[in-house]
Amino acid sequence: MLWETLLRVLVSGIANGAIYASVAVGFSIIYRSGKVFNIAQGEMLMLATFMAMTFFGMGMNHWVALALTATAMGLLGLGVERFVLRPLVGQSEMALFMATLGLLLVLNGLGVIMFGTEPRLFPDVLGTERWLVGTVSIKQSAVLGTALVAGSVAGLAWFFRSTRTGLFMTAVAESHQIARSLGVNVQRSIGLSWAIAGVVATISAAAFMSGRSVSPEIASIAFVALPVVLLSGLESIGGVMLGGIIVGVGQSMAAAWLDPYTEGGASLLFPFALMMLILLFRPQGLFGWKRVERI
Amino acid sequence: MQPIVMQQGPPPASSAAPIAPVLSVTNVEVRYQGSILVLKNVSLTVGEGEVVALLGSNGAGKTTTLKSISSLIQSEEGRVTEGQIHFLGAHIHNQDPVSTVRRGLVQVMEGRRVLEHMSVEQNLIVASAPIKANRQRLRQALDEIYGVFPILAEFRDRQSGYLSGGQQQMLVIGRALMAKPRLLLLDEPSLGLSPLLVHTIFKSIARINRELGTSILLVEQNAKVALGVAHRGYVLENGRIVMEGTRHELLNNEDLKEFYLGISATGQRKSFKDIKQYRRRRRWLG
Ligand SMILES: Nc1ncnc2c1ncn2[C@@H]1O[C@H](COP(=O)(O)OP(=O)(O)O)[C@@H](O)[C@H]1O
Ligand SMILES: [Mg+2]
Repeated sequence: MLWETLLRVLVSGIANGAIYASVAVGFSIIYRSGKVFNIAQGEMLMLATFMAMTFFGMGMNHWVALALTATAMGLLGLGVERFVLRPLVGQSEMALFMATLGLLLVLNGLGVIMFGTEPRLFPDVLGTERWLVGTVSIKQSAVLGTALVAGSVAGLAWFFRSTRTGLFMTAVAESHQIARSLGVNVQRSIGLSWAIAGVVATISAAAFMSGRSVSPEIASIAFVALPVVLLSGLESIGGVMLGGIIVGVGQSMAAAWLDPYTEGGASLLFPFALMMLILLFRPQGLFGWKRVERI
Repeated sequence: MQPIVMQQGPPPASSAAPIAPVLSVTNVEVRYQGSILVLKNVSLTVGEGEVVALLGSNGAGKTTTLKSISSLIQSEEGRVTEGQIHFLGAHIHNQDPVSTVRRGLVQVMEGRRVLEHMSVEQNLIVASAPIKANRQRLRQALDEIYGVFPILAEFRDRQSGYLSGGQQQMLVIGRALMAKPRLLLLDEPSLGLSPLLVHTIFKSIARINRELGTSILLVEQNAKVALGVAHRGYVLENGRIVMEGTRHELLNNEDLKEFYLGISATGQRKSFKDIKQYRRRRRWLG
């Protein structure tokens, strides 16, 4: 009985953690490149979701539709960087943050205007099967979605650590001035980061929305991704997977064991309570960059 | 490459006056934020294969000179407001710093600016940005740097933020070589290093010049050690060039001996007080 609950908690926690991780990795990629905290990351996920549904609605093959969405979202990322953020180069981090807040409001409004507020069903792109483990039923789409996110995060971590372009981008994350002095085109790296974040938003949509009823409100999932980013560390790429799972599983546990006594408050509060603890005791997160102090 | 044989000074062959300058800075004036005037009518040249020292005390404008050549001054809202800078025949002042690096002019900034969360080898790979490098060419370039600084090969996977000061200085110099520059700008490589390490670093600088043929513009407060490897030198004070000459001219110049090499005509160290007085006088005169 306890084992079943635990298994159920783990399964739903890991699946939720994966979606948090996929939104968090988009945050990190953008933050690293230009120290911009893109609060509109959830709106990018929402836009990718509805764009894909629009293409599905036109009768396109699912994978073609997703590839098209990824391309469009990549271009959107490039456009946002080029026309919203680049003109603000040299402004304070606060100004940049406000720009992304503006982006959030614009995309949010656009979402509602174009897609309405009525929930709609996202097709079962990742299958509809369920597997029984004991009495716990596990959805194929959740397993595939988690695997898709884990694979993407691992791929991105490898890209930033082991390819030349990725290393240029990591250098940009460390210091624009040093990168520039070595001949790295900093502006191009930042643009590329936004493009990648757009593609990642599409992957999140494909991984998580399969078979769900969705409305523009799904953008708010990004708020739970914030504690994940801080837990794993703002600059960390691979770390978001562990951060996401810790938050997801913790939240599931709170939901299973504390929510009955707190009228559902514990699971809502858990990620943010964790965030406060991280900020207090380890501000750079589990894998984030701390300035090297040498004696 | 062969192990370094101790040498007294630079090779005589290239110590003659330059014929074709790689770099020429002509009557340059530099301002920060459109108003703060820092360099006044600065002119200097670096010939093919030459090591040129730019000496001067703290605040003289040495770093500003290097950054105006590399255009890195732009990120501090600085600009060349008068005069010209040419590198291999092209105008390079107030350009995109990345395009200057692509032309083959790389600055090693003051203060051992390693990419501290990246490994030694990752630092080097980033510096291959300006060259078209396939896997094999990249490997060759890395091995060349490891040839110059074997310690970097030993620590290639170590996070560069945890290297010692001397190792970090080797890394930033080696890193600059990845782009196969024709001209290297070095900003105070001796700063904060022990005399033994300074010796090692300067041997490497001389060797880079000799064996790779890289021209070098070397900024130093430590005039003695700089003139140990330089063919010629300039002295900068309050944003103006106040003295120039070959290595021997500078080494034998009484003023320079007193105030930058710290040796008076009688062979004794001048006291700090005298130097202060001299400064004060210069300020009135300048
Ligand atoms: N970003 C800046 N803005 C305004 N003034 C500056 C800036 N950087 C340097 N300066 C001024 O220019 C002068 C020369 O500085 P610098 O070139 O760093 O000298 P050095 O390298 O010889 O010590 C100093 O008076 C310094 O205060
Ligand atoms: Mg300086």
